[in-house]
Amino acid sequence: MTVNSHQPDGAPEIAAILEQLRTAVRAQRATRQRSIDDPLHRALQRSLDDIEITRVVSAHWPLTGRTLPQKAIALINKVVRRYLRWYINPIVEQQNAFNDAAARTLHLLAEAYQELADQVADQQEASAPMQHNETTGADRENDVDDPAVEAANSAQGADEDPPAPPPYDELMAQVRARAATEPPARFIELELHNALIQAQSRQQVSAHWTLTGRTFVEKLVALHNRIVRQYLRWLINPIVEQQNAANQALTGALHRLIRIDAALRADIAALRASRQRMRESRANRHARHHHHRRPVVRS
Amino acid sequence: MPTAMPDIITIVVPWFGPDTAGGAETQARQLAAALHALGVPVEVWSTDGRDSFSPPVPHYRTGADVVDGVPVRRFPITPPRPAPHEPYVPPAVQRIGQPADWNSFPDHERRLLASLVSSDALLDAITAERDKRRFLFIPYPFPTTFWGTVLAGERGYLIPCLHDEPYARYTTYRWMFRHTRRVLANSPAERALALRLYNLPPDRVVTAGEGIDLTPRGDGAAFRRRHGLRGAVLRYAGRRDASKNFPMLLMYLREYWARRGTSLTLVLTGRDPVEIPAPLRPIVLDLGDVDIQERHDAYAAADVFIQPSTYESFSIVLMESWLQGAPALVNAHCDVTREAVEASGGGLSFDGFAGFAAALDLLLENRALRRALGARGRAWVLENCRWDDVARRTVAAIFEHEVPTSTTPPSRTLHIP
Repeated sequence: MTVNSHQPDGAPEIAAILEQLRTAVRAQRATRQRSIDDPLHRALQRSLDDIEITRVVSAHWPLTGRTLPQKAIALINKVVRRYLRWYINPIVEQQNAFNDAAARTLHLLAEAYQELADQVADQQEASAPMQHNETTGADRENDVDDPAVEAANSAQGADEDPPAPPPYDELMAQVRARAATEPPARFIELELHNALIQAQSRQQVSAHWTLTGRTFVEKLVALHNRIVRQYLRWLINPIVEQQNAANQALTGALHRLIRIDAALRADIAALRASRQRMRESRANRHARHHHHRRPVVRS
Repeated sequence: MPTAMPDIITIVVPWFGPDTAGGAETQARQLAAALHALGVPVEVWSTDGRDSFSPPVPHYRTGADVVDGVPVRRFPITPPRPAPHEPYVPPAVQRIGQPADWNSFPDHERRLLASLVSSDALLDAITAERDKRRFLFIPYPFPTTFWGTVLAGERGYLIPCLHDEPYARYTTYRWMFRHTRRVLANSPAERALALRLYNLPPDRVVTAGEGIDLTPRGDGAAFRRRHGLRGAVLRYAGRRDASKNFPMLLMYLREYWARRGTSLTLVLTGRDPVEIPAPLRPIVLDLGDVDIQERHDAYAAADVFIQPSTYESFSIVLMESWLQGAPALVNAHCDVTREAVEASGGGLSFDGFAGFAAALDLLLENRALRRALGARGRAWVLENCRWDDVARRTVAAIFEHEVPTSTTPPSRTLHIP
């Protein structure tokens, strides 16, 4: 498909845009269908739903009792929990912030996986007709650096002073016109990178934030809290440290999965580029055959 | 000029030395040399660490040194506080009393300061020699700058190298900008950002600009031969991380390559390690940390220089690529580089992948256009990035002289208030 903004009446551009839209709609429909049909994908979706349901840790579950002693114990526990909320709640909130970021990264990874699977399927579909028209090794060699393209490029002012190009605004208008015909592209990895950075920045839960106050009373409360925290560290610190180790392991795994995803995308890109070169080669051969020699950059 | 200026301009920067990498550090070094060449008394104070790419340990010898003819004093490094970076007030500041607002700053902002490299000895020296000097702090986020401006008071000036990033909105830095005598911006867009973020009076922020070394001459043909390059050569230089949108550049380029099948090579230089997926290695040539000549040869070989970053206050690498005649493709979301491209006419900008692909198509299919845009960029750099002009504007900003009209850059976007 050649998309060229130099068409005089603009009609081919509109046709190209409509065709791109149709292709995008068809692709979306096919993707949805593939997702629905895939039992592994359904299982993954259930796991993601479970993560969504369980990712929020609460320090405020109901404390009740049926008998009088049970009710008395529940009341004491409520008082203790309320007394320690300055200590426990911030820790739980930090863990929830991490869980939120990790869950978002997992959701995006699942989306990325699905998109990757779709790209593989697209390439498999595209490979069927390609096999019938496979180019020869000689074709590919010619394709690497097309002499016609080289000659045309070299002819464009090798040593002479360059002619005055259009001003910036005019060039940018050309860029925008061409960009309007470019099929859309989603870069889910950028979203993944951002989500991972969020997770990494929240993986270290701290039980030792600054306890201070401005007024005398606040300072007294802060001193009291520091003493209580110092006493309770035998209980709380090992829990936080274990959770931190788990958080770190999880972000490490997410990071590696994202790297694997990037490597697979690069593989598919290389395959697509090689197919595109074959198409270019055929188009150039055809053009040379008809004595229409001009550099072909896009198709 | 020096007879009227008894105070020594003292540039305070976290790292400084012949093998120190980084944009602000390069700026500090070249500005110091330009001020020295102008006959202005200038010194540089820094820690004895190497740079932000290296561990926070001593690298240079502590004490007096001379770099490019400029006296340098290095102080023992105070490494970042260990995690979780308990807020830290240096002894020099404790002695004069911490700022009244200190406890009102959010905890994470105070922890950020504690997590960065500083030098308590350097801060002590600022207190001791405060009355003999005018301090020029660069760049904005570091404790040497934050605490330095507290200690220098009315004698503190700031070259922030400010980017439109989350840290720039911290209350600690808002406080610092408001308590600094004058802010010297590297570009009109950076000045506009500082005024917008901190609501400063317009005369408190001036555009002193930035220069580059205009002498290097790259040999693009030799570079292509040396590395066996055929097809389009694209160029990126600088930090290869998310803060500079480098991953986005790789993704855009990968998709462009997949869609077009074009024979191309992205040439990278930079000190920090980068992981390129194996299937992309045919289109990415990472040269790592190279010498100056190789860097400029690579610019000269480039069909297009790409600057995807939005965190720029000037972009030295953009100016260096223009110096070698490479047309530029910059991120439209970065006011600094987009305005430079608009002012110079030396390239195009992109806003998303479609614009990136369209602009690359336009440039790669027309060699004459590339040459013409590159020539425009080069002419603009030669006119606007002279260090002696920048040094004069810096002196004027520090000593609050009127800016001589003859040194006001002719560009329509550079404006000295």
